[in-house]
Amino acid sequence: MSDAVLTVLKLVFLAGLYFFFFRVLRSVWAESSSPAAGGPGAVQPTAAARARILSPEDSKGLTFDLADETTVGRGANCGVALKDSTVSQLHARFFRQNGKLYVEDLGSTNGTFVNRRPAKRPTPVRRGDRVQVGQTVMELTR
Amino acid sequence: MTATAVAAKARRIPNPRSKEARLLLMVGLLTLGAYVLASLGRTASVPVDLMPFLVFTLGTLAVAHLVIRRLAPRASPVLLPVAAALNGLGYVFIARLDTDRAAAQATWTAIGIAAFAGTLIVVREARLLDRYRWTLALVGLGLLLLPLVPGIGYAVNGARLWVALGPLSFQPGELAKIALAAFFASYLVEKRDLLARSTRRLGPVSLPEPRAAAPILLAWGVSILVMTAQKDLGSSLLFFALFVLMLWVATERGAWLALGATLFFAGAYAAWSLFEHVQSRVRIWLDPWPVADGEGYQIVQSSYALGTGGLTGTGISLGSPQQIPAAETDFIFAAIGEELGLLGTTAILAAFLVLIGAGLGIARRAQHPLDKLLAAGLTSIVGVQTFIILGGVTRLVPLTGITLPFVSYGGSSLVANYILLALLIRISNDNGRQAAALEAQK
Repeated sequence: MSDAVLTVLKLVFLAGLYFFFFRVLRSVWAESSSPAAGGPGAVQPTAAARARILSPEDSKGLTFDLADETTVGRGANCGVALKDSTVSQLHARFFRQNGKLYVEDLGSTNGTFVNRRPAKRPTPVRRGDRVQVGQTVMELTR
Repeated sequence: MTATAVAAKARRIPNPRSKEARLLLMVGLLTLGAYVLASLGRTASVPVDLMPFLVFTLGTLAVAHLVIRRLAPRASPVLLPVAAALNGLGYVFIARLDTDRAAAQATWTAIGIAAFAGTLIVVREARLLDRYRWTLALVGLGLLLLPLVPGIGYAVNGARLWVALGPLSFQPGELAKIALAAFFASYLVEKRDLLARSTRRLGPVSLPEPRAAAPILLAWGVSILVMTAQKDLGSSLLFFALFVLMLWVATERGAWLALGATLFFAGAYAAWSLFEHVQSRVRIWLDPWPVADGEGYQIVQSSYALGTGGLTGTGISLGSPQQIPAAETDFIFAAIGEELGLLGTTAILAAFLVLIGAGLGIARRAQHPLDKLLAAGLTSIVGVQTFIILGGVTRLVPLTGITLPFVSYGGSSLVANYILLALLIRISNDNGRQAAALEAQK
């Protein structure tokens, strides 16, 4: 068999290989942007609706439903009422805007953190994020 | 987009399994094409065993596909085809280099697919592995240290990582890494809060509690032991990197990465000053040319092979990659580079990128922390291992011999990687099931 034929066949094979990867990438793309897979294109109308306390130990596991506007603090009338002395009376609030959930610090003494970063202005939060007020850490769940 | 439009779009998503079947068919044809090309290049005729080859290839792919269809119908459709493409291309190159080893590799592929099916049958939910945490730890450590047992363990090329039981010989370390990844996942899910806590600060760096650092020191000690007693740099590095990466993912703290890197460089420096074979590896990495006929022979031949290949390669069976020692195991990437060129090696890299990307995607979508961590750990194994050997072959980092997952000749490695793939597919299926359940609630 002549070299030219073999070269052509080799190039055809390489083209086939790349066509295969093109198809694979297309399915990866379809997968990661499909709503069912929960990828970046996923629309979650109720992105996070509940906060679950992770620490301190004595309030671990408590959950609070988050309404369109929920306050967080040591005050008894707060939506998320905490018994943590490092939490201010009115510490922060969760609110919903355009379907997105935000957390905003309300001038607390010890600050509010989202995933360990200080939240100085209203910060969008999603399911799985960790919000810390004083020494209390909560995780947002459905 | 309105909610109904979203729902309608969700319903139109084609069944992932039919997508997988189409991709697998392409893999079968590509493998066959490469096999025919190899034969044409060598003898200018179509291979005599074309039909058996075709039946075997499509048969194993079909079995794997049907097992997924039955046991993990909602899993991602790209994992198996990409792994099968690597396995198929690897096989063609092994067959081209060494006929005896090709027959063995075919047997091991069949065993690998059986192990793949077995894993999907036994592990119905990845998080059930949590129950066997300490068993997995013991099994993993036992397998890792098994080659040191006198009588059954023996060394090949200086590295003592083989075990012979009667006629059967294998590398237990390959299976150990999976058992240990499962153990780490289950251990770290429980301890991550403790490990993430920090009590003191050093400038901008918050230090983890000293007591919590015990596990990382233990992992380091074990990998040092593996390195010194078995002279296996690759496994030692892989094992330690796996632990540090999983610790980082579990605690979300960069401090662990820094500590891991420090320990790694300390260990690497100690190894370099103590062991001649480590110094030799570093020497031939920096400049192999003065010793091109001696200790640098392998890496120099590998560079020649990659250079000869150019853009599209010499064509399968038309180069001379058999010049490279261990061309069908650790250096198979160089053999592919010589005969399929830059385009061929880029395709291999693309396959690993897709595999690792899909694995991390599975980890990201997993709801349960154990699933998340296990998927991240298993993906790290593939990623780190690929980096170690491809970096070594291309002289990006000092060479440490380890197999290229799915491609290299090696039974233990192939079986272990198919088990790893089955676990990823299991987690991916759980993700798909949960997403579908959420969809149904709306």
